[in-house]
Amino acid sequence: MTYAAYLDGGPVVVTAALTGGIHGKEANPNLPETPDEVAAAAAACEAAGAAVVHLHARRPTGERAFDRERFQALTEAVRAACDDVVVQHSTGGTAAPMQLRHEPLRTDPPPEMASLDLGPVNRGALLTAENTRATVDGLAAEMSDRGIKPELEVFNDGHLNEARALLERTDLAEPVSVTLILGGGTLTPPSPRNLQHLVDNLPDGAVFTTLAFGRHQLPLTTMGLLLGGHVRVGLEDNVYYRHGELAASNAQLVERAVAIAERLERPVATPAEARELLGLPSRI
Amino acid sequence: MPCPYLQFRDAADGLAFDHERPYCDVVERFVQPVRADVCQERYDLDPAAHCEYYSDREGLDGTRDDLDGPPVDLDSRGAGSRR
Repeated sequence: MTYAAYLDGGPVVVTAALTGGIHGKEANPNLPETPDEVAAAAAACEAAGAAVVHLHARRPTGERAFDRERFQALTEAVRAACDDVVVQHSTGGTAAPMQLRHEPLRTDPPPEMASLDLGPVNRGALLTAENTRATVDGLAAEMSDRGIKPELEVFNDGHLNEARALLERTDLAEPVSVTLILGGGTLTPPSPRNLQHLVDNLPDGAVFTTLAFGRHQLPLTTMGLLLGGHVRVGLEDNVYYRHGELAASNAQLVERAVAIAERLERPVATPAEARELLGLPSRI
Repeated sequence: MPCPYLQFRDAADGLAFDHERPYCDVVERFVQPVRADVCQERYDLDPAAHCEYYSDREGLDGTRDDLDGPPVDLDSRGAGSRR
């Protein structure tokens, strides 16, 4: 995917990251946490133009949860509230044991997509999400067994090496879907030059989604559109709408991304179109 | 045993919620979900080893809170977390 792809006017897939597991309502009271809240947010985002929803499960206190039962309740609520949206579960989990990291893949039905974090990420002073190669391979294998498309999360440019190595030792269905993540700490420093660098070093044939944290979400997802990529927005990645103003909802962020894409003459993909673009089986 | 500085509150610091949430008595604010697992010693996490706030309060050595640079979610100009 390149600037030429933008000129060709291909559709853009908008992913809405609705809740996450890092911050919660303490950061923005409008962030959905319960299955019912997340399902309502998913439906609003689908109506606003999101084709994919990225989901994390939580306990009633807002704390992180990884067990299959909570993901089952979450995915059932989302599927009941939405028409056709592509469901993507997170398998991320700083410090969570390997066994729990697999739980989000074991819902019935399984998610159509799941995130696959390609390497270590520091959190604060004393926590690291290790994401060893053994963890990556184990999750990728179960995704393959269950027919789940991995969304390769590239937190910095070294993870592009990890992506290539994974492609050498694993047979992933094409097109490979890569999310390029820019932010603080261990992540790629957020700048236009660095986003271009990441795009320039994608594995051959990969499609990419731009994910940038906080105030970088708006400018760098816009740049991603111009480079022919897809975009991810939502309260997991950014709780503000503009400087000093908390976002009112996930849908508000999706609406802005959709408006920018359309202004740039990138049509927004429906869920059915997104399945075709991402190489997912069509729903019957 | 949970961190001794962990509380559960439904209101503090101008915020109010329908349910009680983890609250840190050291930094006097609600706890991010990713940190609450440390407070509750889930997944072999331990406040003495994995929480810089606990370590600072207890006067433990070997911790710094600036190893990672400023987390992007602490950036008040539109980032991930309100402070």
